[in-house]
Amino acid sequence: MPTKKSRRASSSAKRSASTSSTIIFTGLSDKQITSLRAAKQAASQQLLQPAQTMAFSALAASTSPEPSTNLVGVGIGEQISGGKHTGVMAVKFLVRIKYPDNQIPDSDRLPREVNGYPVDVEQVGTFRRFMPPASGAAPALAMPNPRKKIRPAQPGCSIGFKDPNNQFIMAGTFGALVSKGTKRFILSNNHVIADENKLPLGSSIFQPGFLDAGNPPNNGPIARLTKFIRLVPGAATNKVDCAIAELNNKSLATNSVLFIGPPKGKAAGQIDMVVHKFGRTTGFTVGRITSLETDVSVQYEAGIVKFQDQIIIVGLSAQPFSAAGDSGSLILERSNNKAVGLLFAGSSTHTIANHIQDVLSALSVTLTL
Amino acid sequence: MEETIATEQEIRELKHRHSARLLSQPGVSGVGIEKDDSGEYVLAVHLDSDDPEARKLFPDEIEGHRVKYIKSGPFRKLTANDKA
Repeated sequence: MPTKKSRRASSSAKRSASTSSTIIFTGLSDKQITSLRAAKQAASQQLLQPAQTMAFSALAASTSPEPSTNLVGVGIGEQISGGKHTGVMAVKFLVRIKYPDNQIPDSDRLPREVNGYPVDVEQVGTFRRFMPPASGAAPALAMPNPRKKIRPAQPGCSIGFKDPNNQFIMAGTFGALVSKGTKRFILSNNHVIADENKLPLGSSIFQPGFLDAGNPPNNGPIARLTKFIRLVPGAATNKVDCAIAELNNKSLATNSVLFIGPPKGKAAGQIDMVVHKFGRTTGFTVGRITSLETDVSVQYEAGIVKFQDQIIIVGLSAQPFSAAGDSGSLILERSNNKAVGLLFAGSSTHTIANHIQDVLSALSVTLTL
Repeated sequence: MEETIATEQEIRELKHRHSARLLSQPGVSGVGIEKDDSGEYVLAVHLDSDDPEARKLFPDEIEGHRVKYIKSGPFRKLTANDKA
């Protein structure tokens, strides 16, 4: 990785002279939210014109960078820079046309910051009432339930093993469909489908996991444990918590992550990259990468297991990115659905993931695209 | 006084020198490289507690580099089960 001597050029990184420094989405306090709302309200009252009585056609025909014509909304949202989500909260100006800087007279220029908050300008065209959908149009995409029996099984759904001693029932998440030659496997964590090194190879993997299957259980085996990377507790450093189970039949699972869709390849994570996942417990969540190289101690049944150079993620809008049961989820870059990590641990505020390339290399498999 | 800005590589080397020692201390669950609010690379240490008394046991700087302390809580594997 190249080293950088300079500060980040991005305006989002600049500290403002006023009381509020740049606000990252995560962990906004009530006070910060109130102050951001006040900034939005001030900009809205000052710049946004009351609804015009002009006919829509006439309004649509007139174009000018003047805010009274061009500004159609003021809001709060995530700042987008160079097409990338930054995770930074900003006052949003929604304009009909985003003019090049040199075509805007000084008198019509929108402020560059409001009460110390960065400003983001987004072109949205002209707002108008939505037409009722034509009959037969697809309904809005509903959030799927990952804990029910799903065939073919999809990444994001509940999976698990059967405790050979019948002492407990559990569930984790099916992360991705992976391939080696013509064989197809489900990818998840060692602790989700190999019980921390303890489950014999060939053991059945069930969908949903028995914790979600009800009594009597409404689930079934979809794969058999094929390979796991051994977790080594104590002083040793681990890189990954992962395992694969070969599908009993290729028609039993697809590669399409619930709600998100199939991964579009893989990518290395970056600090401040905005990512999303779908998991068994918290479903669809969005977060931001805060570190790519964090060494962590994680509590397992077998004791403390140390991992080197892991990805750390925090949820956006102060929502947790994950919770117990989300282990095994695939983490993808939000803007392009490239896989970046495999979720395996965390606390109530932070989520930890293996780098996806480390996982695929350790298991000698590729993502099934 | 002009503040010097550490490079990513300098912080990476700092982390390599101190990570194992810090992680072996009770109450420390992570040691990594992050960026602070102004975009500078810093050594980040994850603590299980935000108790100021616990925080006092750790230095503000290591080898002249400011350390960012983050209250994360202990990290656990994230399966769900019905164990008591």
